[in-house]
Amino acid sequence: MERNKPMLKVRNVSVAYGHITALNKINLDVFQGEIIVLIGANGAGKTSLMETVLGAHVPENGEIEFKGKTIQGISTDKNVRQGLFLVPEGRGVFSTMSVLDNLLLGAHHNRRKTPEKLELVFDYFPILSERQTQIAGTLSGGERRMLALARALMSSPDMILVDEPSLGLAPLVVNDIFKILTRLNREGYSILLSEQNIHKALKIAHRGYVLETGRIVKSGTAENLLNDPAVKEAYLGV
Amino acid sequence: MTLTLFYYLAITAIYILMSWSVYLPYRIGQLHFMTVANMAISAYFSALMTIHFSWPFPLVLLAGTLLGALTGFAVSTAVGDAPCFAVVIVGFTFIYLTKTVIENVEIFGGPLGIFNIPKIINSSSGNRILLIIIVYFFVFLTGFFINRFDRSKLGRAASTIFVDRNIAVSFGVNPKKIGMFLQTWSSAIGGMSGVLYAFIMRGISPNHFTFNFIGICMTILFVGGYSTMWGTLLAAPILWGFPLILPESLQAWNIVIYGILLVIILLLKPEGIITRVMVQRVENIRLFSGKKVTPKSPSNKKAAQ
Amino acid sequence: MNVLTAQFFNGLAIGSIYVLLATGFNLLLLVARIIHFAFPVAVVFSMYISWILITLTGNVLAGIAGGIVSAVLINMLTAPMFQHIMNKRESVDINTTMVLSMGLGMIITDILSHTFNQGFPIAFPDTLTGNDKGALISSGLISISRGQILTLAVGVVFVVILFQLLYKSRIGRAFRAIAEDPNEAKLVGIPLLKTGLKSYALTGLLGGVTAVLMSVLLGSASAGLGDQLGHKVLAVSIIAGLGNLTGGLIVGLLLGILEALIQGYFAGSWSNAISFAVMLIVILAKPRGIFGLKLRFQEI
Repeated sequence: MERNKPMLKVRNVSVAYGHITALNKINLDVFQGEIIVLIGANGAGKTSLMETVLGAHVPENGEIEFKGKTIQGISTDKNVRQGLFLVPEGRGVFSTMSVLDNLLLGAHHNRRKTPEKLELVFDYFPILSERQTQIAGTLSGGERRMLALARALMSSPDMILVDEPSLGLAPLVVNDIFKILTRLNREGYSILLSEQNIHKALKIAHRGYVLETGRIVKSGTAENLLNDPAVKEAYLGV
Repeated sequence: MTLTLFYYLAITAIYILMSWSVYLPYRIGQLHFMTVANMAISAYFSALMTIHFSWPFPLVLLAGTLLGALTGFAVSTAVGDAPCFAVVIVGFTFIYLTKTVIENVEIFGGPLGIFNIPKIINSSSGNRILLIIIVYFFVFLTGFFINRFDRSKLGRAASTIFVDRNIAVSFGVNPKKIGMFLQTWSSAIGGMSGVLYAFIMRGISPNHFTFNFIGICMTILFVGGYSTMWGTLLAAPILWGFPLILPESLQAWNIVIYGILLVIILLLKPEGIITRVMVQRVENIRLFSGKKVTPKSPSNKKAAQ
Repeated sequence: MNVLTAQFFNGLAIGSIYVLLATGFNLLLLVARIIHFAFPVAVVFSMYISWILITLTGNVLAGIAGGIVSAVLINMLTAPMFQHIMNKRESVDINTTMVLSMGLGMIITDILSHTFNQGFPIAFPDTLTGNDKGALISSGLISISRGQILTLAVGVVFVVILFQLLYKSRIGRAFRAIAEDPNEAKLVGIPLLKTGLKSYALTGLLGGVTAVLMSVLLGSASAGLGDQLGHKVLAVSIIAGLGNLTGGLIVGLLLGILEALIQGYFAGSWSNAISFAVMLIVILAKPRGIFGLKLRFQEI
C-alpha cells in the first residue's frame, strides 16, 4: 500500500439515532502504521464513530473507505473479514465463555494458521496462556482488556479500533496496556484509539482528533495537540 | 329478531369482551389466556346454579364475575409481574385442567356438556331482545371503564411498563400491582362473559373453550390493533362475522384463515389496523373543533416514539 | 416394583423426546432470539408427512427421510418471517415472535385436523415401529420395546453430539456468543442473521429426528398432539429456566418419568392433567424457573 494514501478515510460522515445527531460531518484519516487518538468527553461520539467505521451503524451521508474500498453500509462481519477489528469499551469479552473460546471467536472468519496466531498472542500476553481454560468472567478487569486485545489479534487485522482501553483500570495496568499498544503499532498494526486519558494517549500517538458533540473541532500531530492551550485547558486540566 | 341475527350480535359481544380481556393484561405485555379458563368455569358454574338451585340470572351473573375475579386474583399473586411466556403457560395449563375436569366429572355432563339452561324471561323473542340489551350494556360498561383506565395515570404507567419495564420501575411504578390489577380485571371479564355465553347459547360443552377460541381472540386483538381498545371493537364484528358468509366448504377452514391473517398482520403492520397515533389524531380533531379545549401533553411514550 | 421399573424406562424414553424438543426450542431462543412455541407443532406435522410417504410408497426409509426433510424445510421457510419481525424492531421483541409462532401453530394444527386421514389420528405401520416383533426385552411384567431403546439411544447420542457441537466447534462458539450478548457478538464480526439461520437448520434437523423417534415410540399421532407437546415443552423450558440447556435436560427427563409413573397408577385423561397440575404449581411458585434464566432479556 502506498504510504501517502490513507488506509482508513472518513469523509463527511453523519450518523443520527432517531432525531439525535451522533456524528456530524466527520473527516478523518488513518495512514498505515499510525496510532491515531480520538479525544473527547463522554458522549462526544467516539464510540459511535468507531462502531460506524466497523459497520454497526449506517451513516446518513458521507463516505468511508478502507484499504481503497468503500465500506459504508457494509455489514460488520464483512468489515471484520476485510481486516478491521474493534476492541469494545466496557466488559468487552464474553464472560460465560472460556479464555480460549474468546480468543477463537476472534479467529471466526480468519481461520488460517490459528495455532501460530495463538502462540503469537500468548507471547504478547503470557498471563492468558496460563488461563486458557478459565471462564472469562472470572478474570480481573485488566486481564479482560488484555483478552479483548488478544482476541483482536486473532483476527489478523490490518487496523485495530480500540475504544477506551484504560477505562476503570488501575494506573499500573494502564501503563501495561499502552506499552502493548505501542509494541503492536511498531510491529505494523494501525491503531485508532479513543481515550479520555489524553496525556498518556497523545504520548504514544502520531496524530489526534478532538471530538465535541459529534463534530471534529481540532486535529493535528500529537505534539501540537499536547501543547495546544485549548486542549490543555479542556482535557488535561492544566 | 331472527335467530341468526341474535347469535351474530350476541357472540360478537362475547368476542369483544373476551378480546378486551386479553387486551388489558397485554397493556403491560402479558398474554393472559387464563381468561378463557375463567369463562369456562363461570359458564359451568352459572349453568349448574341455575339448573340445580334455581338461582336468578342477576345473582349468577354477579357470582360468576366474582368467581372469575377471585381466581384471577389468586393466580395474579403468583404471576402478577411474571414474564409473558410464564403467564401464557399458566393460562394454557388452566384451560387444559379445566377441560379435563369438565370432560371427566359427571355433573359437568362430560364431552356433551350441559343443556337446557333456562331463559331469563319466558318469551323466546323477548328473552333474545333482553339478552342483547344486557350483553351490550355490559360491553358498553366494560368499554367505558377500559377507556377511563387507558386515560388514567395507571394506564400511562401500564404503557410505560410495556415499552420499558426498567424505566417504569425507576419512575416509581410497581409492575406487580398493575399486573395483578389487570389480570384480576381480565379474569372478571372472562367470568362475566362465561355467564352471558351460557345464557346466550343455553347449552355449553367443553368444545366451546378451546385453543382455537384463544386463537380467534388473539387474531381480533392483533389485527384490530393491540395498542388501543378500539381495534378490538372494529375487528371483532368483521373477523368473527366474515366466515359466516363464506361458502360452506371454506367455513371449515376458518381457523386457518384466522392464522394466516394473524401472521400477515404481524409481518406487515405489527401494531395492527388501528394504532395509538391514529386514535390520538382523531382525538385532536375533536379537541380543536369542539369546545373541550384542555390540551393534553402527549400522554404516552409509545406514541412519542 | 415391576410396574415401577417398566414405567421408569417408559418415562426415560418419553423424557428423551421432551429433552430433544426442549433443546431445539432453547437453541432457537438463544441463537435466533425467538420463542418458537409452535416448534413441536411443526415436528408433529413432519410426523404426518412421514406417515403419508410410508402409506404412499410403503417404504419406511422414504418416510424417515421425508419427515426429517419436512422439519428442516418448515424451519427454513418460517425463518424469514421471524427474522423480518426481528429486523423491524430496534430490539428483539420476544412477545411478537411468540404470537407469530402461535399463529403458525394455529395454521398447521388446523390443516392437520382437516386434511390428512380426514382429521382422524394416524397410526404408523409395524414396519416402522417394530411392534409386530414384540418386546425387545421382557421378563415378567417388565417389557421394553424396540422403540423405547431406540429413542433413548438416539436421544443420548444426539444430545452428546449437540453439546460437542456447541462447546467444541466454530459454529457452536458463535451460537454461544450470540446467546450471551447479540450486540457484542455482532461487534466481533459474527453475522447475526446468517448464524441465526444455521440455528434454524440445526433445530430443524433435530425436530426431524424427533419426529421419526416419536413415530416409532408412540406409533400414532393426532392433530392435537402438537399443541399438547408445545405446552409441555414451553413448561419444561420455563421450569428449567428459559435458555438453560442443561436445566432442560434434567426437567425434560423428570417430566417424562413423572408422567410415566402417574400413567402407571391413574387413568388416561387424568394422568396428563396431574402432570400439568404439577407443572402449574412449579411455575406459579417459580415463574422464572428453578435453574435460572440464561438470558438477559430486558423486555421479559
